[in-house]
Amino acid sequence: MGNLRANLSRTDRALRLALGIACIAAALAGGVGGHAALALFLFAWVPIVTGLAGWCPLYVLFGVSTRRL
Amino acid sequence: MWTARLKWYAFLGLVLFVLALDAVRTALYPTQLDTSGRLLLDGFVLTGGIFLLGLLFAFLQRQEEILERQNAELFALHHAALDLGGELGLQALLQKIVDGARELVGARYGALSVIDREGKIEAFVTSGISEEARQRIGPAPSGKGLLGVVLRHGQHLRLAALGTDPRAAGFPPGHPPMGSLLAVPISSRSPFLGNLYLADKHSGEPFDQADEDSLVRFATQAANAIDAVHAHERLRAVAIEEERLRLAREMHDGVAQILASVNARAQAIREHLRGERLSEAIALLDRLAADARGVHAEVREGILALRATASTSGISGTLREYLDDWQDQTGIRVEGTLDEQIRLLPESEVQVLRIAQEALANVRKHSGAAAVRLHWFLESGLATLEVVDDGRGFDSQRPAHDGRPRFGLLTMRERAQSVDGSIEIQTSPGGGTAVRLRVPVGRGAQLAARRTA
Repeated sequence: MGNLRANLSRTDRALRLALGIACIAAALAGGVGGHAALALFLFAWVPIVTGLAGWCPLYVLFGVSTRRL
Repeated sequence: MWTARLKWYAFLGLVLFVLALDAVRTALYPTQLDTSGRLLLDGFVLTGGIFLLGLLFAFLQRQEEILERQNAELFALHHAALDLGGELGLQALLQKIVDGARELVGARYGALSVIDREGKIEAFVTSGISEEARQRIGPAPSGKGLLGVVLRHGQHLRLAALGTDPRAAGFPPGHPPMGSLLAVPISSRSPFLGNLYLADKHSGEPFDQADEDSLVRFATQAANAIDAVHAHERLRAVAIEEERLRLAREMHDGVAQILASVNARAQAIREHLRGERLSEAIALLDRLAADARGVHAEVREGILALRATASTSGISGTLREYLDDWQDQTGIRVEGTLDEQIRLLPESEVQVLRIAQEALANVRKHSGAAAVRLHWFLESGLATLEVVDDGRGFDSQRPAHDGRPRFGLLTMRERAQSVDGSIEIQTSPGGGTAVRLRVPVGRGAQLAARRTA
């Protein structure tokens, strides 16, 4: 990821990590079942990975950045 | 801008692809997945696709930035080379180098040290620091600490934080705080030795490899410009030396000889007076007076020639003034035309002027002419000077009447050759003399025009 220029602010990253963890927690808590639980598991990695990398591919596509230059 | 549009197309293409994939799957396997399962799968493919596209465009963006940066650097280097090339004073050139380097890399502060033979800092030129700040900092650095490291080893230096390097000696009081540092040596072929320093990028990031490469390339251009200044200074020194020798020769050939003759005649007159041969004494006195007039004319012409130097208004203006004065002094009528548009390099203009003066001095001394025509014009891309008199001319195959070679003509030839020009002399006894000088215009004129622009 060395060549990727970060486009997420600290707050953005923190929110994404919190969201990812919340997704996993919700799936584990068993409140949801079936496809919804699978969806939570499968998509939790998106905010976690982007939050950890500080880089979001969708932001690249739409030319957005929450990081102050 | 085209990448922004391409991103949108790529994203829409991905969405369409996922929808098409979903449609095909539903048509082929209508009972395999329920709606939530289909959405889950589509969402997964879409997310994966977005990641791939994101990576691809991030890479493209990076390449585009690198290209843009290289383009800007080439442009800046080109401009800097043009700018530096036109500068012929060392102090002004050094200031331009350090300003140009700072602008090229986008640094807040810049400095250039000139190092003497003993490896000590001889001069220190700064950029980005106000005069008041310089006053507050005090005397220029002597080469201790990090400045000394670069000097002694001639290496490149790139530091993210100046203060953390163990070799740093710290800043004197009043020095603005500086973080990152980039330094490269300026290696020129001339005796010049120096280093170029930049500190703190405007972006706040430390200097990277690309900055270092840019600065090294710029330092090469700077070294070439410094070499050119040294070459120009050497040429000037040689020209001054040649001018001194010419003056010495002219004084020896002209004034000194006439004064020797004046002395001999004065002694002869004394002998005639002692022997009371008055008529002989009077005849010699007349010749003595003629000699004195001769030497007077020689000295005045010399002073006039020294006073006339190629000015900023160009050689035509200088020649016109000189011709007016010369006509008044000698009483020989001057006619002709001068093309105001012709511009040469300053050193070429000086030589053309001296050749014109020498040719006119010969007209006065030897030709006995009543009128002289002088034309300065362009012919087949060559600046041409023509000096034609209606005097007695001479036999060019025979040496001068005193048996010595014609030094004046020799000097004119040397002068013409020194500016890649050629000289042609047409003469015959009783047929007047024509001196024709041709000097190339091309490069010299372009340079002169650029300097005056």
